[in-house]
Amino acid sequence: MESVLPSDRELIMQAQRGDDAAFEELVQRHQRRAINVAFQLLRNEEDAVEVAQDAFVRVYRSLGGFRGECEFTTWLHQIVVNLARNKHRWWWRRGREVTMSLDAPVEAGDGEMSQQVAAPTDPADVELAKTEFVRTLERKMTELPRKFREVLVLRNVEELGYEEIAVVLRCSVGTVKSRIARAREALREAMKDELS
Amino acid sequence: MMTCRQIENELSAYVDGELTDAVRSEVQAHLGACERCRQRLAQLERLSDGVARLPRLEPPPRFVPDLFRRLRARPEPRQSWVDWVFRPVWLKLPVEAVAVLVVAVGVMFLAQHGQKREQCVRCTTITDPTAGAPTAPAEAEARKGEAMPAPTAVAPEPATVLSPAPTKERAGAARRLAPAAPSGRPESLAFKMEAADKSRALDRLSVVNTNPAVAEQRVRTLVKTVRGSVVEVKQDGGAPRNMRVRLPATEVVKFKAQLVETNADAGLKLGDMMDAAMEPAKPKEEPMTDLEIRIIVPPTR
Repeated sequence: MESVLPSDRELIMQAQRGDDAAFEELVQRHQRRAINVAFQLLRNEEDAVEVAQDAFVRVYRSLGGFRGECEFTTWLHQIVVNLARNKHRWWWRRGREVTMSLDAPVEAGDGEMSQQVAAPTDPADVELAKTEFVRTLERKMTELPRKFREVLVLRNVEELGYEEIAVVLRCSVGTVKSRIARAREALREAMKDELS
Repeated sequence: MMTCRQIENELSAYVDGELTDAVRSEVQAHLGACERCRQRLAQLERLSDGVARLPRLEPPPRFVPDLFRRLRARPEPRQSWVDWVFRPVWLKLPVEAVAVLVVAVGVMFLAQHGQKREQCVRCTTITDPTAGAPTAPAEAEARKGEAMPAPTAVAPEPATVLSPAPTKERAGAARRLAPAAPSGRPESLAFKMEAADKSRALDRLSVVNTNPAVAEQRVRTLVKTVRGSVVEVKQDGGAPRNMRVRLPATEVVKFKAQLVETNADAGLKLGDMMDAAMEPAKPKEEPMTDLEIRIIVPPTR
């Protein structure tokens, strides 16, 4: 007999009743998503993991207030994006260079941070990911305004629809549409040499 | 019909599949005829594809254990004072409103009560420096009472404060210690001599006692011992408040001294209270004199 995995909503309800195992299942299910969104926005592994952890801590503390008015993933995205913004401001206040390079060595710390950039499994994709185009694109992304980076990550990395992005960013669908168009135009302008 | 520029604006949403059917059809029709827009579309698709292929980060193996360690170890997030004071609003605001009301009523009550208490404080502060060394521990207590008059806290029986026979020296002392009334006389809030009383040279004592019945009984006993009589007892709610006693003029000083001794034996606090204008009753034809004894219940805390 095929076992049916509980939905996010069911897990949340269990977690709201104090079931930590259900919350752990939620974390297992969405940790990759949270870390990646944070990483795409911050381009710093350590900060991305910290932001993702903070996001789950906040989720845990706020479980009682979650009424299911939106999907759990939408809520999680909201939190991660907000925390990433806070981290950005924190960097900015301290004059830290926000732009990160993929070529920069990874700080492994005590070994727990030794995760590597995940390689796509498709050999063809591996080749593509390694191209100079993607490297340049990544660098140019970090130079985009934060708002542009957010919509592009939510759309192309997380593959959210415009309506969901609007909920995450608390703006209108029209704003999302125009912002994505402007972000791509800015990126196209920045990458015109590579695109030609 | 949309222009190239309008189509360009829609290309991004076209790539994402977010256009309505009508607009999408129009864009498709335009793309079939416009090489420039097709190139632009190809660039946007390549960029979108590139963003989707950006390197990703795998969660560290200890992400979940570390998270749960934090959840168990971390105290509740620090709240701002607004959260602390007002949230949840539905619970805290009504409770706080009631608390404010209670405090306000309490402050008003204490303010009123404090005035009565101040009367007693002032009574005990008008002491007689000419009275010599304290005749009893109670008198020392009375002097201490200047700073902290809490007569009911320690004594097995409530404290009693009375005024000794007034003398000119004492009147002078009182004048020095008490604030001057407009007439130039020291004014005791608790012991003002009425004009009528003054004309009759009525001597007035005050007895502070938490148990008025005990005080009354004590006065009655002493009155008998000096061959006097209780003329009148005015009661307030069943508890004696004012007593008027008639004593042989020659026994007044003795009566007062005995009352002091009685209270001193009982280990009670004593203090002098007197109106500086009071003069001892001077017997003329009749060797009897009246004393008014006011029984004051000290404020309890």
